Amino acid sequence: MQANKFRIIGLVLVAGLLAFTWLRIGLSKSTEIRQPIRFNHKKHVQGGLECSGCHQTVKDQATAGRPETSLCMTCHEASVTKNPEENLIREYAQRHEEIPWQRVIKLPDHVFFSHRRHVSTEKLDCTSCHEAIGQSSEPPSRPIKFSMDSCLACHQKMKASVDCVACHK
Amino acid sequence: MPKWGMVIDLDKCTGCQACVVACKTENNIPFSTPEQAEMGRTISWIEIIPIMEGEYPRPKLRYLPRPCLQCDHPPCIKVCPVYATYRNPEGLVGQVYSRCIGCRYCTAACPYTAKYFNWSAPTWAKEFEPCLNPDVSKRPKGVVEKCTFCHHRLQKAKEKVKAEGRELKDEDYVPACVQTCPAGAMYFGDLDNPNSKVTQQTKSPRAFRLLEELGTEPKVIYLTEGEWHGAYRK
Amino acid sequence: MQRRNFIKLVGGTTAGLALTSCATRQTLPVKDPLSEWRAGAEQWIPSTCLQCPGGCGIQARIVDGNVIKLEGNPLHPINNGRLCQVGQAGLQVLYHPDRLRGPMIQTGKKGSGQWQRLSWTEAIKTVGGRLREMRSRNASHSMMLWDGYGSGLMSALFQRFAEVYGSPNYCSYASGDGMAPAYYAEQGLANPVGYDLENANYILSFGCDLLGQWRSPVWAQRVYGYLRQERPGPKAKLVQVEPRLSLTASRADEWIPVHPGAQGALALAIAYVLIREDLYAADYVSQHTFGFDDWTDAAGRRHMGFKSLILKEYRPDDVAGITGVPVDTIIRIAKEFAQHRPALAIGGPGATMFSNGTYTAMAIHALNALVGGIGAPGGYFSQREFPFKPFSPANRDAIAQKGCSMPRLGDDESHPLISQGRPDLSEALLTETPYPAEVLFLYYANPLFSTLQPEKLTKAFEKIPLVVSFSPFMDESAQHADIILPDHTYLERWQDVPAAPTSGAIVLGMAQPVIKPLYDTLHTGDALMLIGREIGGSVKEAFPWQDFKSLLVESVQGVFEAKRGSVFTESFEAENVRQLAKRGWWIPTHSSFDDFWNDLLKKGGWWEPQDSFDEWGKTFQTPSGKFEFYSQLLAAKLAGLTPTVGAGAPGRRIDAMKPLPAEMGGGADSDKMVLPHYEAPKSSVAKDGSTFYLNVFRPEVLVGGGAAIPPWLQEIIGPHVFMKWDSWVEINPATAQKLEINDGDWIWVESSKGRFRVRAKPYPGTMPNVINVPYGLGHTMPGEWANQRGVNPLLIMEGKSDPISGMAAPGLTPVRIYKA
Repeated sequence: MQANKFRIIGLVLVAGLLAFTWLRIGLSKSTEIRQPIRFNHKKHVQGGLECSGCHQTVKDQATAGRPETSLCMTCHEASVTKNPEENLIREYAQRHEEIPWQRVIKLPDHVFFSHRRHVSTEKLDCTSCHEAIGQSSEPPSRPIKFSMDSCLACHQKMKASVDCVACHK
Repeated sequence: MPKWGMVIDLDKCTGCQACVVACKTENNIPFSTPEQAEMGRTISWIEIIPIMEGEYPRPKLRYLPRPCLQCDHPPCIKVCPVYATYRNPEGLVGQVYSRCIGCRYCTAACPYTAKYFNWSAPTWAKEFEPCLNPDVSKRPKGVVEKCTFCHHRLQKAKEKVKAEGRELKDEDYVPACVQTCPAGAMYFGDLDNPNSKVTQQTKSPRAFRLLEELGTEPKVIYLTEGEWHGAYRK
Repeated sequence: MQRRNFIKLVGGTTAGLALTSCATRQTLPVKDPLSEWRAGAEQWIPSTCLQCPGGCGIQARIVDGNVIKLEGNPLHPINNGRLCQVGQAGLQVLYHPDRLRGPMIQTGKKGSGQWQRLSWTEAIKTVGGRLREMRSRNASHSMMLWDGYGSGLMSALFQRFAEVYGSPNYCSYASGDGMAPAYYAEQGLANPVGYDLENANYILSFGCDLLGQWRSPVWAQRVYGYLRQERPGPKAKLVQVEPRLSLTASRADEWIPVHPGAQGALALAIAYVLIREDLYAADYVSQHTFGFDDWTDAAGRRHMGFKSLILKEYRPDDVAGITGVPVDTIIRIAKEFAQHRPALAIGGPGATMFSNGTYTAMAIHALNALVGGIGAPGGYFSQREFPFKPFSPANRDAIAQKGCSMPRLGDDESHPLISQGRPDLSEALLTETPYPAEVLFLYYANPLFSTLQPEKLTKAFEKIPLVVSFSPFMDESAQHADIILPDHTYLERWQDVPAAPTSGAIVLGMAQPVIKPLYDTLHTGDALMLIGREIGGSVKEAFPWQDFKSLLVESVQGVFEAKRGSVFTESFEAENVRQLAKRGWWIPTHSSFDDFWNDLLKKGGWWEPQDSFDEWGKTFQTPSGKFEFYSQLLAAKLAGLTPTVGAGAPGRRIDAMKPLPAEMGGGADSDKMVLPHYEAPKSSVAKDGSTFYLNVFRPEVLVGGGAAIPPWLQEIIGPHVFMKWDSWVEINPATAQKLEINDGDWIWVESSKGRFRVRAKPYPGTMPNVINVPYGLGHTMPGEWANQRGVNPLLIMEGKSDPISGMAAPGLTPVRIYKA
């Protein structure tokens, strides 16, 4: 009787543990971001590049823009570093492919956000929202999330519009 | 602050429905299936309402394009339990999908039947997805939606004039329906600006508003020489 | 359509939850925003709409390489930034799931649906090889090109192909309003004319759905808005004469219901009142018309004039019975028409789609001459030609010359004005007169859907060894083809788009790709050149261009060098160009052709305003150099002569009139055969209980009539009767009540040829003896949205035709209706 009871508890525990691990692996797999190239923001910033040097539409369009392979090639045509990752750029260029950069900032579909509005007209610094990305030497492995609270806090402080439809599309 | 309004000249409108399709393409409005259409579930933020009067051989058929009338006293917002629909400072009646709980009180309250409920998740063929407008969200199942006067265009227009360092003018912001109207029967602009085209038009003796007696104060003003005119005095 | 796999889209672990969708249609997958990167770069690319012949300028909004929205081009003189419902729905043509993905070959028998993909190289080889082999045995004449687009350089290219290959069988089936025979017979013009609607005070439209689908609906609607509320002075009156309350009729000041096929009689009764009461423009008639009064020819024979005929036969009292229009209405309309000049009489398919079409068109157009409107403000313009650089002359070998000298397929001599008509070729192709067709090319033509005799034409297709379709969609005709060489859609290709004639100005829109081709399709111009090269020899040499784009660039050089007109400009500059043109001035604006070309693409096109009216030599290219009530051109054609248009010096008459054969109305009455007159439209004997005439109309959302009907248009197809996604039949409400038919009841409509089941819609805009059914639905083609939606009323209509122009005349079919 007693032994059976333990056996059942043991089974339940093992099953639970298995399920938990499986779920963990599954979940982390679905949210983990692997960039095609281990891009080092810090190096580029230290090298004197402006954010808008690569994110070229940041000042005049809603989205900041992803650098096209050709843009990377303007500097990386020939070897600049000894990092083997750098070769990958030239491999993409040779295949005439765009580098499939993964998005790390996740805004819900019902939110409208314009970089132009914040960067060009309101002169906000990129770090106001993107904090330390410029200082990171590894690409983030998980999506960066924004909460409505952080938007609102700033909007209230700056006396910007807090009208719902100003941001919700 | 401007007060955005629309004038629709029924004497010029031909009922061609260009506004209807322009709206659907601009605002990611899913098309119905024949079965849904049969149940009256077609979503059409601006709809052409036919009005048939008289009998053969002298019938009179008119068309009345009906967007959301963006009332100044909207009956729909008073019944919303969750502040998903509200009147914003510029007089637009906003609809926030992420707040909407789908109770449909507002669809029942709107005397103009301008609100639509998503009875099912929006359906598109995979091939159609690339042409969805990134400025407008795809509404999920179970929320109410309606015409926004192409509010996203206002956001973009504001951004543009700010970047160019000038004031917003009427022609900077035009909803898709007004822009496409072949007969030029629709006008759009600031009702608070005495010099705007729309304000001028509302002074016409042909001006009237739909169901004026309800006191909803719509910001869509119609013009006609027919017997409905004369109801609007401002 | 296939069921999509959701697993990928929502991530492996939650797959089980998501698999709860319907079978035929997918829920829009909740896309993982991480996998979806929109770089967001946004631009606007100008191009031109090709959804109908109107030729409106468009701008496409491109975000991250996808076409998001189409708007009107504000600089375009036709649409001025506006766009219609069909133009707006263009995105659903481009991205339509049923588009063909590449060239295909039928491996089974025709219509079996056993398709196999093949490469373009193989496809061109197969078609070119067959054509080469035909030339080797002197059978080149049996190739036929069926061009349903019928204008601009693509048509010129098709014609060149036919010429150098050696076939007389190039047929242009561009949509028309059925008035072409009248323009030819009375004015000697081979091309359609323009109308000065903006300056008209009275518009009398006979069955022309002006606002819905005539030439350029956007232009017509713009003018309508202008005439209604913007033009200073008295408002123009619009009167619509047709059996059904169409979109135009509902917006007109007055709708005059008239028996189907009797519009010509009404026009002649109006002429009667004008003549009888001396209300016509007597000076104009005496100076610029021929055959109004009785006259004597060089041989001393007396001929009847228009006036005698009218006064003898078309008293309003007599015509009232034919038309169903009360006498006092006829007299009132006639007086208004005469007294509110400039007045315009316009004809359309609603009046001319009957077996008496040519004479109806002539009668309507004669009213314009009576009020002096042809070649005058508020009236008619003759249209100029586009100054394209002509193709370099082609070297035609002996085979080509011999082939071209053969008679055309189906071109028997029974239809004197066949070149102005669009004959139904089903009979000729089936009976192989005068010889069998071996290869048939279909370009934007879907005759198996639009013919009145689909069973005949289907059989005829089976007899043709190689049918090639260029359709981007699997329409009915493509299904019965052997090879499909799908064209790009208009948003993916280069093309010149000459706008349909409107207010005299000639307008050349440029269509350029706003997106890279989505699939393995090919510009038909390129395909044609490749086929030509595959054939080899002199045919190969006739296509020196690299592709259609280089042909386009070369041809447009002529426009630059012509030193006329202007690239589209802002409206104030356009007015300037107009004023200068009026005085015969022209100011160069571009230093080089490259400069001109780039500006042309940026602005969307080129145009030349037209303000001069009294160029009589251009306006009347008849033997008399005048408007001919008594059509000498028709007389000569009837007598078996081949007059050349415009050859006659003013005042010269064709005197070689032979008596006409008796069956053509010869004998004493033969003068009447060349004068506008009324003939009862042909109709089969009514079956017992057939008390209605079936009237077909095209709903305005189906204008242009492409094979793929965008779902956005399907769901707004009949707003006046609350119909979506389906056909319906309009019945007069009183009649419906008598028959105990209620709104929405399913009823059968039956003719001697067959029957179909549709829903009944009592509609006060219906005559008591007529029922109306929309045309354009009822496709039988694969795909979710068009297949078997609604009915095709042509399937039960009589296959009649106009004996003069040979034009198919679906007009008058007696039917009975009963509850299903």
